[in-house]
Amino acid sequence: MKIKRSMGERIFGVFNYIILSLIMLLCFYPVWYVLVASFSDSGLLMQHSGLLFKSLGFNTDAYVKVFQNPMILRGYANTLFILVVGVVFDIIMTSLGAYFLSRKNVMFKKPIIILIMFTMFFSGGMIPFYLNLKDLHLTKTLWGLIIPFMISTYNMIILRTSFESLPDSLVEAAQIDGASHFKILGRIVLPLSKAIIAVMVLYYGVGIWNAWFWASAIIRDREQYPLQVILREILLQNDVGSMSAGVSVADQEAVGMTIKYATIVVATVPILCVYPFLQRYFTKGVMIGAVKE
Amino acid sequence: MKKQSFSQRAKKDFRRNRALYLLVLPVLAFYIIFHYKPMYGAIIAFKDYSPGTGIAASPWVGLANFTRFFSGPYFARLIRNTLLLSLYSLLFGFPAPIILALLLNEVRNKKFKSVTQTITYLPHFISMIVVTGMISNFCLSNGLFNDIIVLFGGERSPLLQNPNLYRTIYVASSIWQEVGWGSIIYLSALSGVDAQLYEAASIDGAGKWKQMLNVTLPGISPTIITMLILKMGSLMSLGYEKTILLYNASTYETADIISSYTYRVGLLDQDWSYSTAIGLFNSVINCVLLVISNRLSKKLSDTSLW
Amino acid sequence: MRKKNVLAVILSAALAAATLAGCGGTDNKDGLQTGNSQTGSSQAGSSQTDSTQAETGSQSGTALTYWCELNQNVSANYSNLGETPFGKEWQKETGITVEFQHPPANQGSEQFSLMLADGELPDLLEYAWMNYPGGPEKAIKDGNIYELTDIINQYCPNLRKYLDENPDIDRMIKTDEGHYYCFPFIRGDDRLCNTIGLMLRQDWLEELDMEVPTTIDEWHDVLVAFRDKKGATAPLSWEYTMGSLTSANPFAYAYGTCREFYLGDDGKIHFGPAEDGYKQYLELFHQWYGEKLIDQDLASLQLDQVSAKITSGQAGASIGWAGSRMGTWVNAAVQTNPDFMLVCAPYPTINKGDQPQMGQIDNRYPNQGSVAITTSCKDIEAAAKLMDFAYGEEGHMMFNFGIEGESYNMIDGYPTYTDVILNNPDGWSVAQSLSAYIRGNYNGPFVQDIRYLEQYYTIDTQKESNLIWGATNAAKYKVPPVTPTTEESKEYSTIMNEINTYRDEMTLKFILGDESLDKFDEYVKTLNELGLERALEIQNAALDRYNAR
Repeated sequence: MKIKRSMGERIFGVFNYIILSLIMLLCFYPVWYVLVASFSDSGLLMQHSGLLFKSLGFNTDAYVKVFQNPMILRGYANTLFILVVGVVFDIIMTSLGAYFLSRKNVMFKKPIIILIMFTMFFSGGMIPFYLNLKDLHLTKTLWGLIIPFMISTYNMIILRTSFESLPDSLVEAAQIDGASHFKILGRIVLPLSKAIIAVMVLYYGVGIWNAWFWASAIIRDREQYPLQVILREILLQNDVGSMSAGVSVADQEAVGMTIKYATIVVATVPILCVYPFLQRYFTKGVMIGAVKE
Repeated sequence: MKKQSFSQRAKKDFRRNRALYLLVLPVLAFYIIFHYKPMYGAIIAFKDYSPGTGIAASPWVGLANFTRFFSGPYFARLIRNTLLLSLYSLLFGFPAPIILALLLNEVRNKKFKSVTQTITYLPHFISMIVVTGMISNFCLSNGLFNDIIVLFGGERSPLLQNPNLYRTIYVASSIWQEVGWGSIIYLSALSGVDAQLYEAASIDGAGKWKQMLNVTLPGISPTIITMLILKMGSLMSLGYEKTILLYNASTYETADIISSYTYRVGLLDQDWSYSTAIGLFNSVINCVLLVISNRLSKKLSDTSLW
Repeated sequence: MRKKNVLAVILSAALAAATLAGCGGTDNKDGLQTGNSQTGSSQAGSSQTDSTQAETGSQSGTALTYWCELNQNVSANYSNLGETPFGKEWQKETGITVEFQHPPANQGSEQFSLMLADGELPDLLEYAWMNYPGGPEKAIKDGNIYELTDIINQYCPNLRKYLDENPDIDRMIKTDEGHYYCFPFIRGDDRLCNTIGLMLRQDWLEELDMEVPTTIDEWHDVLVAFRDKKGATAPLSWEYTMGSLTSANPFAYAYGTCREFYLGDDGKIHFGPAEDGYKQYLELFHQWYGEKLIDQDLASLQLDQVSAKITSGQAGASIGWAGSRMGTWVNAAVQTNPDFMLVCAPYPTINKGDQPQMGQIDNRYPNQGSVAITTSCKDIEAAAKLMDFAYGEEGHMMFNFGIEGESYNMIDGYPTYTDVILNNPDGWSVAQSLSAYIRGNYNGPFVQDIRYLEQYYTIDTQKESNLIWGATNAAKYKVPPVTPTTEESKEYSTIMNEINTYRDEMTLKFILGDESLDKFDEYVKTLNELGLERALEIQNAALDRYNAR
């Protein structure tokens, strides 16, 4: 900066840091609270009131109990399956749509856009959607949680904008060389869009990881429950007993509160861990996918 | 004459873009199968659907399900609650990520910036179930929020039992969860603003504030307006998940919204046709709002969704 | 030119058709393939369960599918009822293979609702069938479940015999038209019907030199003492969000009213929340809430919070079950506080020495855990045989006590649980180990035996609970299991949904003080505007039909 910063700007700068630090604190503290509570001694936690800055005592019993529960591990496996397969399907389908929408000189593009956008605001409703799933034999299977949710229109629009920002000459040159659209998409467009694809992976991934409603509606085999459904059972059912197989009644009460917090941590940490891997794409500032136009 | 040229153009277009249309086929099929087919199913809103007889054969009842909703005792309240909650979410929730993005944009320290970003994204990753669980715990009369209230000389009270506070809690927690994540899109739009414009402005002697008004905001306004239109279109479609996890009988007065009511009558009382009718009504309102706001935006700023 | 136009139309139509057909096809294929690979992988994952099912050796015919909610005490250790010793034994004894399906906890009614909506039902469906929208008769008419009269007469000698011997039960489980629709859960003894009541800290009472309260005024004194002298921040605390507990509010009963319908002295059905007694009850609770005698977080109270408050001494009294609440709390709390003890209190009265009139009581047919055979069932005989087993001698013992020599032994003609149940080697709670071997401790299609309860209760005051809580005239006020006619049912449920929502909301507002009790008359007026009179008319007509059965 060549120009000297004025007094007002400096004051603003200081305030800016203070405000942002406060926002950070607000976002961080509840997460921290859950984390330290999960490591606390349950008895102490029950009697404690007020803010919590570090764990009350140190106790990992709750985690031992959580991982003793066979349902949690099955839930992990199921969620992982939906996550991996789902994200692959999602990305493929969304890129296909976005690529089409980013091409110019296509006559029926506009009606197709309208056809697609309309679904963002108009839906048949829960019951017709479910009846449709059943007609397609997509109930009672994990695929019912993948296939019907392959495309998020919102994400597709973002991806399209990003594709549009790539120079036309690239695609045109490839077309002159006789490359098919599939090839162009796979060899040129996608490799150039790694950053935005990373963002898409994260968008879809978080969505899949945290989804529970349709799973609880269509899955009837407990062996197939994704993690969030089990998490919900534990948190909402208020039944500490069901969590702590192999514990005597008294122990159940003692670890009850912390088990809930530990379950939250166990169910949230994996998806949090994905983020740092994708973060560099964010910080590179290459998120060109802003919805424009 | 016109028709002719249309068919010719279409033919030519198909010849040239055949491969492209083939490529988009699966996407179209997806939309038709998973979005448009359920819309056909929504005709049960005009029928007395019974599973034994199926969608097609169930008897027509005309608008009976709709009139029942409109004349029901809770109609006015549901509309009011849904609208108010949406409006507050829009009023406070929409500018929040923009402001955060603008603030972040002014931070020079790269490290601080990336740490702030990472931490403000955190809440987005936490599932709704956990977030509402945390809120309910913190709102108890011996919960975290009350501890803070007492710290500032207030009195303890069960916060989630107070209908006057419900909307505040709902909106504030949504902002908390989404502000960081929502700022991503504006940050990227900000990074797209031409640096030369800033230089030119500062040469003209414009201060930070003026630069923001004259360069930054116009630069990201297409993004802002597009997001706003999208939000307007879903103004009435607040999900039921958060509501059913957060409300109780003492806060129905402000908390019960169309979608939670639909959930109750449709899934808990098995009144499928009725709940579909309410959902349909909701969708129609969404579309009307969307068209209106898109038209307004086209007129005022030349930005349009289509 | 026109030709070209037509051609274009045909072309685009063909394209669209190809799109639909082609992709619909691939989608379906996808679904199927994936479906297969899915079951493949899940089989691999759960090979243990499969092999155990194979062990039962029941290869006769195809498996029956059976949908029911999985009790929490079962899901603690098993993910499927078929894996439990109980499930295996049941299949072995009957020689019928059963494939159990379960919804997530608390999502039972949602999944039930969706299953009905799509009409794709399991062979056997366990539910509270009187809650079927439109009543059980409608379920038959909708073509969802079979009318069972012929099936019971033909294939179910055990149930037939039981019903012939117990005409009062027989009357309860039929529709007005005289149709059977389910294999019922029946409480085998009147003492099993009083399950909910008041309990409070005995050690505190002794310390404060107070008696177990029997009147409203005495309760007030005790709660005040708990608050002031024992530092209880929520002297009376119970799971308000649990419908069955809130419906059974002993203090409302004291004013001759309740949250539901009840049978009045005039032999007609009345709606408690619209009557003067309800106002008195609300006044009392509003006062107590203001005095901080009732948990301030009332509206959102759930089990974990109440448990924490009771065991840590923030609360001193509660409403609940003798087993799953009282027993659990005492066992948990004595670990840290050896003096901790709860005692059952009788239903309170207004005047000292009066006999309590109303109280919580279940019907012998309590409308839960009853199984219907759906119209999807291909092998009705097998289904009927499977169900009938529980009503015979052998099945009765198995459903209530488990496997002889393993979970119980006959000692002097009394089925006594072994240490597998009472002192489980794996450290399971009694409720959990019971749930592995029997269904007697919750519900299901069988006749519940009182001898299970006698052993399940280990604390003295638990054992007295059904005497203390049962000392009312509750049965006299209990509405029998009546059902509206199919035609009236939709109207009835629409009215009652709205009335119940309004009642819940206003009840809380009156108690919390958000609404003044001067408005009580307006509230009653609104109830009537919502159609209360019509609902009562329908209920009373249903009662007449019931009495005429």
